[in-house]
Amino acid sequence: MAKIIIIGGGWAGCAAAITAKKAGGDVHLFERTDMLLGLGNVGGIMRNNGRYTAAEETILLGAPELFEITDRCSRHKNLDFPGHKHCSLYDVSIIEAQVRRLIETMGINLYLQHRVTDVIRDEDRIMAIKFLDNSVLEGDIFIETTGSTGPMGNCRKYGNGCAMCVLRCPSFGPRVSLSQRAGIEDILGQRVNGDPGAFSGSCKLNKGSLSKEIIDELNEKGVVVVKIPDEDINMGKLDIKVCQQYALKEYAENIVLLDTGHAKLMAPFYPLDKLRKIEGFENAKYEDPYSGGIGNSIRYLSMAPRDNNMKVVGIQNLFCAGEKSGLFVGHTEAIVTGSLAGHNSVRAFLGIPFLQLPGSIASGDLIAYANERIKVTEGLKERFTFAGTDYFKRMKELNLYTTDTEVIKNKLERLNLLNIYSEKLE
Amino acid sequence: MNSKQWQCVDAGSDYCPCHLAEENSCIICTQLQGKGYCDCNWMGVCIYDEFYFSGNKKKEVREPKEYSVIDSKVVGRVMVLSIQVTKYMARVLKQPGSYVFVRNKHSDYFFDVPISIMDCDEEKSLIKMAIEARGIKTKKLMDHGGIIIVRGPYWNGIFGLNALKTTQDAKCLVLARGIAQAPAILPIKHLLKNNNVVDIIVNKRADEHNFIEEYFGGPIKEVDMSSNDVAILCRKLMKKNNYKLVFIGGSDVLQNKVIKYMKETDNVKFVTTNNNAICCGEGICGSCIKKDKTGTLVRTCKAQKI
Repeated sequence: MAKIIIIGGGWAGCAAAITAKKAGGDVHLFERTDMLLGLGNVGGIMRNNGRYTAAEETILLGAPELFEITDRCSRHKNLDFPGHKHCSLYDVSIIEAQVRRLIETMGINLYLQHRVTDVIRDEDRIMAIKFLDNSVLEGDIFIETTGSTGPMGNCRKYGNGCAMCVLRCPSFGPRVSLSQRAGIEDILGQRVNGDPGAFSGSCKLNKGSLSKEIIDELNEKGVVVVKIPDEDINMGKLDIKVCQQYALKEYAENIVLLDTGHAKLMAPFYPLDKLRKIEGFENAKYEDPYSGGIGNSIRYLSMAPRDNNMKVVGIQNLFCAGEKSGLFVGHTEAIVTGSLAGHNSVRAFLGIPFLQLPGSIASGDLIAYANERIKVTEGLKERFTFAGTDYFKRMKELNLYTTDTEVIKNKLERLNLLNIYSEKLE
Repeated sequence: MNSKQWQCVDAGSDYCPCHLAEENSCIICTQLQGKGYCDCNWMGVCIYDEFYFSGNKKKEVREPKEYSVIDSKVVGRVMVLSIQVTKYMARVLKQPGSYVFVRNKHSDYFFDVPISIMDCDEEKSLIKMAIEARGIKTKKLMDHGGIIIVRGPYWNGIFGLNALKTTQDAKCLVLARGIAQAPAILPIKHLLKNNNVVDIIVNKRADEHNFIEEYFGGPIKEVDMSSNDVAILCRKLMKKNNYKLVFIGGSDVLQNKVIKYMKETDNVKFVTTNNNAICCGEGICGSCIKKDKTGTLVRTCKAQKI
């Protein structure tokens, strides 16, 4: 049986673990902190714009598990907010435990608080991973889903210092780029002005610290839009953030809050004293990052070159997914890339041809398009998400965007891809 | 691969970031190696962040200070000194591998010689060391006149500190030859504190103390370690006792022959004295630099293998 080792327990790692398990792998998932989902613990936005299509595609490809959980945990469904339609917001305070239970019930070997620090490479193959205590674990195929956020030095150098985000580097140690340890140089994303990295795009306020009116509106409608005083409007902030799908004028002129259990504030950071001047925010307090008044985590400093099968270029048995695999934004994008990487890891072990998602479905097109763009300098400044930016435009132009599940189903049936992730490979 | 096998003993201490950080040569932090991205294994507070919050400067360096010699005993070529230091110094020098630079009050700074801490009395703020008069610097120290200049604390007098500190409830073997008995005292204390059973073998040379016996009671087994017999003996003991850790205090020749004989047999952790020439202790002068297996130049006055 293929021994598949996955490093990084965020959405991408969990998705990879699930499809690798379903394809017949003996799956071992390692996470350095004490929780799965990483930044998924403070995210929550699903199914907005093209993400709806992509979620349905992955479900129909045979990996519905994670979307079932995010749907089940949604506080709000079919929600519209500036620039975004039919969005679901999952409750960040209950999601992690449910994903963890799923992973465990599926028979995936889960190792929390296990810090992988290095790889042992022989020619163009990884033989084993090495842990903090110098112990070693051999495997057949490896999937790196360590993300591209932090650690503290990057947040200091390219941001405003450690803002104490959910990744908790000082508690669990810094993120390590294993592909770089294997000798494959990382690719660095850029922001509009050419500086490396980008700020995470939102912070979370403690909902209880807001006024009763705001709390009630959030609970009822899921979204609250509050006008920012003219003197505090800062358009420049839009250029520095990861989530270009939210880098719209409306987000500079207004405070947009979404109800994900916390009050998700759609700005990378917002000075606390300015925030508290606004009606309803007099007692506002940050929940994530704790220092959301001064900064946020820095991302996109560690991407591995890959092919469209999610295999890292230059290493025969290393796959990647999520932010590690490109300038992707969002949980859906992580699950889409992770699912493919997990499935292909078992194919790699068996020596059968890889599954490449066709360009006629949004998932396949995003993976291929992001890979094409990352090779040019201008592309390093772009972000790829089904939810917005130029990519959503492209989705519409190529007629890939639909909220009609039947259409997607028929397409996948024609392509003979229906439920391909649920088949055990032999 | 293999690029991250060295850790800095000073990382996270009161003296980090140091000169090396200012010169883009930090042992751990890739940002402070001028690489522009993070790629470290350091589990403590981010060194680059510390550097930023120190105003993009190193922290204050260890300054030489005069201290009184409380007690001074000479037996043959060896002098044992008890020095009155600050409470801070006594506290931070208590860990295995600690050393300081010392020199005669009337000597210039280039007479600084690194000397291992044999013992510390935190309550009385005393440090104890044994110095063998061998070369220019140590001979000059014999005539200290009651005052001595000490620069410290430094900690990299022993390689394998991590193994030493994490070994618990195990059987361990300690070999110490000649003056290297002195740096063996703190490690033995540490091993005993962690509930290990420690077998000790000493090779004291003519007119030398058996320091270890003085500390831990006796009789301590004595063996001539100049021949290969000691390695054969160690292997026999290893088969019998299945040691998890072996400490070797003594020359590189002694270390190599014991390790060579034992490595073949068992998965054992080795802890050894750092015998390299150390002159500044700050990673600057270069006298301690060695090449590791990958060809990387390693500043052994600070670097620990992980």
